[in-house]
Amino acid sequence: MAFRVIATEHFANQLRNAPGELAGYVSAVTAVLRVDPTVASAAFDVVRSDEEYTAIFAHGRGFLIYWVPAGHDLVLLEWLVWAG
Amino acid sequence: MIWNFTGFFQPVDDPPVFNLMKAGRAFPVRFSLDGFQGFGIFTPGHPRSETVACDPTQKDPVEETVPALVSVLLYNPLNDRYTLSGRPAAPGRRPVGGWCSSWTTAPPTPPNSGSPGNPPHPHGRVCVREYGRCGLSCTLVRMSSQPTPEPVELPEIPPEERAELEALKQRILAGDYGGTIPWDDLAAELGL
Repeated sequence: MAFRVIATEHFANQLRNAPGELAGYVSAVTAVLRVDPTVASAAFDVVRSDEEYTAIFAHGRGFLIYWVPAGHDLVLLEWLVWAG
Repeated sequence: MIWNFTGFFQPVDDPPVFNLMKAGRAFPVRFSLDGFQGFGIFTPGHPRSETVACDPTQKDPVEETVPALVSVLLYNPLNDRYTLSGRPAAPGRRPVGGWCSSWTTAPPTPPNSGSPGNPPHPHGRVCVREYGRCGLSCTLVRMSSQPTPEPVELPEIPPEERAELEALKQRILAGDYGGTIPWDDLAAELGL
């Protein structure tokens, strides 16, 4: 069963203005989140705080904050940070 | 001024216990500095991990481990706990039978305090073994150490944005998805 993935307007605008490398990372991370957003994968680490998670990728240069409300099979992509 | 360091807390047991965990994992190192003291809390060269001789007489499994991909430093104001994901040092060539390491932080010294800093605070030793290769004896073999990566500070969403975000979440829980974009639509727009 796949999770429904949606993004905030802020996140969408961040991604529209992001370099191609970052967009590629986010696409890959999101593909994993769609399957199970609550676990880390071999490609990135995840830090959890209640229902909010931070995926850390690109060797600590990129952070994707997302929300997984309990019982909703939903992922909200909230915030993106890129250190280049 | 020297901060009031307490710890380390579970799941790591204090010496003389050897904390036992499997190779390829990290362990959460929890401690308190009596309040939030920022993230620049370690003296240069710390925290660090080095391999040591094993004492198999007292050992305890690390009950909680995390993936050993990135070293992260967090602070939880609810329980006044710093958490650092620690990775035990591994020898350059992993010996059959596992190895042991000692993970150490230096109790932090505030900037411009004029203090030479506290002596390193040794914490429970972490004994590592390979899957299916050895028992718990952890025979000591010639060791070398491996540098510990710099901690990563997690980003924070600005407070004003956070308030908007929380309101959006409440609407989503009520079934109103206004103000959001399906990922598939965004990905298609950007050619991802």
